[in-house]
Amino acid sequence: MAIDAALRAALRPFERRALTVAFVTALSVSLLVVALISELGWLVGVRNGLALVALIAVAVVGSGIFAVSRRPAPLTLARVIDERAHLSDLVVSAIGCEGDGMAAAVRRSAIAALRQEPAAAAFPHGMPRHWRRWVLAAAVVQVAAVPLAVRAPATRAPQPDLSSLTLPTANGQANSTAKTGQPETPASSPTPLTSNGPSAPGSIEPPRATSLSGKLTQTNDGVSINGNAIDRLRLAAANAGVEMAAGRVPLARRAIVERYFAAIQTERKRPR
Amino acid sequence: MTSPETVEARAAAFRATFQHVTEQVRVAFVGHHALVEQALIAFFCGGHTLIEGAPGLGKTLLVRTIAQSLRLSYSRVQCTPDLLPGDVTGTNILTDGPQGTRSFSFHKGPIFANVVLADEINRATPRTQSAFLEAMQEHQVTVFGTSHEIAAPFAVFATENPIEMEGTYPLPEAQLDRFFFKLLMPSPTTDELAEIIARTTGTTAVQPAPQVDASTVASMMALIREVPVADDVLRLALRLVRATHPDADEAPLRIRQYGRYGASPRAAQALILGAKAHALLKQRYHVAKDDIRAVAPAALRHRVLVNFQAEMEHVTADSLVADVLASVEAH
Repeated sequence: MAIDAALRAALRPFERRALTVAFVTALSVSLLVVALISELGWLVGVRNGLALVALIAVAVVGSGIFAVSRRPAPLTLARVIDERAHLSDLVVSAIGCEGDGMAAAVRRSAIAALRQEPAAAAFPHGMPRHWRRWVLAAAVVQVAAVPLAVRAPATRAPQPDLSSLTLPTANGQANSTAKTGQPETPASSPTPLTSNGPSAPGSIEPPRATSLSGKLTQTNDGVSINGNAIDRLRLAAANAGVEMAAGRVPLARRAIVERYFAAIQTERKRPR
Repeated sequence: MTSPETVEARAAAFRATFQHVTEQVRVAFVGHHALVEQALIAFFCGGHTLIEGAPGLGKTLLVRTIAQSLRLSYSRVQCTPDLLPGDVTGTNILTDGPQGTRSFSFHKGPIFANVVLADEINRATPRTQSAFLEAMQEHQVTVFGTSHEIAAPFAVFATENPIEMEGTYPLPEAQLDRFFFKLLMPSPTTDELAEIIARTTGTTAVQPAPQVDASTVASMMALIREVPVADDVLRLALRLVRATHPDADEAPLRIRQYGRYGASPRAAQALILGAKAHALLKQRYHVAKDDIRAVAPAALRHRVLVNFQAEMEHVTADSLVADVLASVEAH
């Protein structure tokens, strides 16, 4: 259908406005999806700023492509304008009219009306269609993410280097652990908290009973300790450290464990 | 090439002439402004009008006043059961020639006028009613094999009384379909009745002053046909017509339940032409959906035939037309 050039020029601001509204609406939905994906990724330990930037860029480009693909045809545009501006099918009639006489008068009337009507009034920004579904979906994802947050495995997060930590002995010297079942002997090298030296993340070492010192004894359940508060702090950290190595500490307690290890390292550095 | 300025001038002249005729009609006819407007729309669209109303409401007065407001020939046919077709169309009469010869010459009947009033048409027999059929559709009368043209413009205004059923012959569907509009004349309001009494029981009598001739009417009719119709609006009119048929997919539930037969393509013609005239009166150069809705009841009520169940339950064609309008717009 050939449209009069002047009429097409009068429709152009409305066309641009419709594209803008479609782009903004699509972008709002896309950014919501990006936010949900980022949140899920953070919960499971995927924290990559570059990935977030890439997702946002995809959302912007995708919204632009979506808006252009949904570009309304001139007749569809005319119907919307007629309805929202209460023009009584004037623009629709002008698009369908060809020739002179009455048809030219219709086109002139339509062009005059379009120039008086602000494009923003015909295409206001509003909520996306089916916005309730999007809100519901976001809420469902939030609810579904709660157990995920609680059960996320600790091995996916950076862990402190347990092999560099040692259990101090009663005389303040670092104690070394023997291999399985062997009695404790004074050693110059630090005793790693894990029973058999540094373990790979996620691996589970079978605990063994090893006598480390008069105060510390490594048992099947971890490390037992007699003594003051500091020793109890070490004991808790050591126990937690063993559990972390075995991948049994939930995410929420990981921060507590890290603080324990930090306290141990601080104590190690303190001059005796 | 007709410039928009010329079109605007012609449209303004159309509205002015229409308004003038309306005012002249109101000189003698009180109230019923919408009915007067629709009767004039039907006339300027080249259509025939059926006016239904109780006795004494001014049906005949309206038609006579319309004819007097236009500088056109007018004739009246008072329909009775003994009226013959030849009384309407005219007949051949044996006449004497100048040299003593005799021959048949056709004497035109009252149908040969610009404005014809067929009063109480439902009292004429079907045979006589059919005499109007050819004239209304083709603007010509065939008598003894010879066709005689009726001069344009030509419009038949028929009246009928819905109260008296004895001795009447309901118009057949074929003839009903030839009427452009069917208008219902309601009873006047108290104020209108007071005005009627004041005008008709006093000493003064005012007659309308005709100032519109046949050429002006012809140009107005031509202008109406120039008004463009968008495809969307046309589709609305067509959907309305289709929805009056009980077997159509677009038909609403009540049409399927109470309709016997729907509107013909003539209904679509009446919808479009009537809407074009209505658009011009509303100072528009295009037909809007509002124009279609405004003329739909008058164009469809006599073309939507109800079944026996509807008659028993007092379901009127008007209510079915309203359902059709609501149903089509909802989709």
